[in-house]
Amino acid sequence: MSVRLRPRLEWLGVALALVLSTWSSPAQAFCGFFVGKADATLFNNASQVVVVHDEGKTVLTMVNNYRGEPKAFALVVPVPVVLQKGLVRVTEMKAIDQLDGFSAPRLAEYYDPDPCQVMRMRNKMAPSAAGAAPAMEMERKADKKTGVTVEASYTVGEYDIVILSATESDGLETWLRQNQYNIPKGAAGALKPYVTSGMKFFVAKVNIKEQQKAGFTTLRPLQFAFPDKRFMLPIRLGMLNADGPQDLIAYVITKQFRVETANYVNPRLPSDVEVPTYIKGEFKSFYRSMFGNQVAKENGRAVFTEYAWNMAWCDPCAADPLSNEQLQQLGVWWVRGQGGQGGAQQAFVTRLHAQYTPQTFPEDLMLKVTKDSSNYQARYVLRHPFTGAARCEAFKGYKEQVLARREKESQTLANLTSWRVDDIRRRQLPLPAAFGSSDNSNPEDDGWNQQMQDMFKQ
Amino acid sequence: MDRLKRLIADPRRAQIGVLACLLVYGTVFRNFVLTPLAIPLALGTALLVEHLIFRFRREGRPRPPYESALISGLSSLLLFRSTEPWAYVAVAGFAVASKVIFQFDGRHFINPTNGAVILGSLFLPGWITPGQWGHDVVFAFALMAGASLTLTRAGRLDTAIAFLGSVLFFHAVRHFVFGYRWATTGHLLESGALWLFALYMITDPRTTPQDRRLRYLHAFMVAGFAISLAQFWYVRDSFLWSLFLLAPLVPLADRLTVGATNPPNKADGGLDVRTFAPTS
Repeated sequence: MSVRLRPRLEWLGVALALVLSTWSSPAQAFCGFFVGKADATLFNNASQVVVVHDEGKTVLTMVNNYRGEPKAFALVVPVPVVLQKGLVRVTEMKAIDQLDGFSAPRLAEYYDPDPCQVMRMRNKMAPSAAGAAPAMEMERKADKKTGVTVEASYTVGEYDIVILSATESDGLETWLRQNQYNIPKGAAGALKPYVTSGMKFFVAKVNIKEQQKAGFTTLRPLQFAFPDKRFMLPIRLGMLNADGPQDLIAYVITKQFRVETANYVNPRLPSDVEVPTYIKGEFKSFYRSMFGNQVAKENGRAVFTEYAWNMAWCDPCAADPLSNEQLQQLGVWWVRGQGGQGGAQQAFVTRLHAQYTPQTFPEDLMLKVTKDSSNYQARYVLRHPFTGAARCEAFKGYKEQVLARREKESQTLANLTSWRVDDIRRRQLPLPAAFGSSDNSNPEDDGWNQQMQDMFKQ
Repeated sequence: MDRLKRLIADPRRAQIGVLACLLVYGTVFRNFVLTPLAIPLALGTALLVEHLIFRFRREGRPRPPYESALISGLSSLLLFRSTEPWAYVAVAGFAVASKVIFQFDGRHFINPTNGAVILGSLFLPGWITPGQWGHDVVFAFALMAGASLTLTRAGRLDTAIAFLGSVLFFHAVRHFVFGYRWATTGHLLESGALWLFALYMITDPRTTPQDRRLRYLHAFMVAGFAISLAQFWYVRDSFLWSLFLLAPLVPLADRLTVGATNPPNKADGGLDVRTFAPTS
């Protein structure tokens, strides 16, 4: 039987049901309403990983989005030390889904007040298991031919895990092949830097019996804890069997500061910009285009920050902040024993999003904790014009403002996405009746463009 | 015309021009995490501290070396990041003051900005962002072209070349011994942070050995130590740390070659000798 090795960070997608239920009940926030988010489901083939890091220690949770036959799955992750069984567990998706929702780029909408009434609106600020099978300790001995040593071997949940150390990368490749792992070509070359720097290899494959016993149909995320002075994400290994650009979403949780990449430029996405209201119905398509456009602007060589926020609160909230229990499920060890359900947690999340190919990302991601605790979110704003009657002179000025605003929104959207501005203008939602003529999305557009396009089509 | 010639006669002025352009480039196009207020605060502080040092020490100059202060201020703004404006004030002020603080044989041996930025990242609410420049080849070339003009004047382009050659040498070791791909070397060479370091820090005539061969050796050691720090100790800002930690070797090297009582001459680097005249 051949076991296919999938040594890339390729992880489970997000449960759609949760996303939909969040949409149907928008949460009120400090300014405007949260109406949509662009979560990890948006990007096909997006890997998700949660990195909890503090003072040279890391807990890594890898979401498994492998969708093939479980018996054909295997995963290789370089780790700095031999991971003992007690420091590895399987966890549930729920807390990760919540974290995805909490940190996702978001859409917020506002409704203009009646310009004829002096009114100040004051909105109130709105302020997540492990199963372990008995260990199968194996005798630690080096394979003389390959130089590979099985440092530890055990079963955790539905996974059989071996921790390997190797003296040379060719030997490691041979060992993996001999042990029925189908590894991609060029693996030895990619493994060499990890072997020469003394790293161990965490290798997991699915224990079908355990999986059936547990009754899980999907593979649960694997979580492990280790001392980690490197503070990096080994993305290079995953590129071996990539067949196109890959998306990685890394949620990095520290005690109080934002995390950035040390060896790639780490821009923030354009945020707090007003976009046409019709985007409410196609936020995901907008976000995908906008993100692709930003990636292209950076020649595909940047890691974007989508969110950086103190986890005690949010504004607007795309999902509730994580509870103490959920944080512990993600491996945030320092909140243990602190506060209870609903209490403010000492944790700061940075959501990093990279879209990479082997050419654009020749090195692993080196991370760095800054001393920046300021909050940032990718937030896009919809402003709905006042829909009531024009009852005063001031309405005329307001109407002009709204027309100018709509034109600006069209231009902004065109710049962000590279969509054609004419198309955007045409798609702007009609203005309310009090604004007079049917659609004045572009004050200079008297319908001639549309007329000509229709004629040319014939 | 004469005025323009006079203006660019001092290589430090050309350097100020290039650094200012980089700051504008980074702030406008690279979205530096930089509070706008930090710029006047850091530059103002650097000039003020330079002025105060001049008032209290004099050293027979006609006026304080404001160019030097601006270079320290601009460099700290390019390297150091903080959300607190006062941290920029502290780093820029300390950078200028460190020329008086870190002295040995009358020479300040720690690159003022390097020292201030490293200490600032340790003790202040600030950090260093090596990845902020991105990996745009065009940018690297533009930076190199702009800087080479400056360095030709300062006579230290050879040090920059020695340093970059050493980086390539140690990367070759990394490739052949540890199996890293050449693409990682390409990635480093395209990094704006490396070029900035190579052209403006390791080449500072006042904080590198005066003897040409020792300068090459110093550049070689800084490159080797930096790459080792990153490889074995996982240090992120390894070039800055390497230069900082090896700084005490510079006055020793100078003592061995030039001698303690012999301050560097104007021909060496074309700088104002009074900048590093013995103070005691």
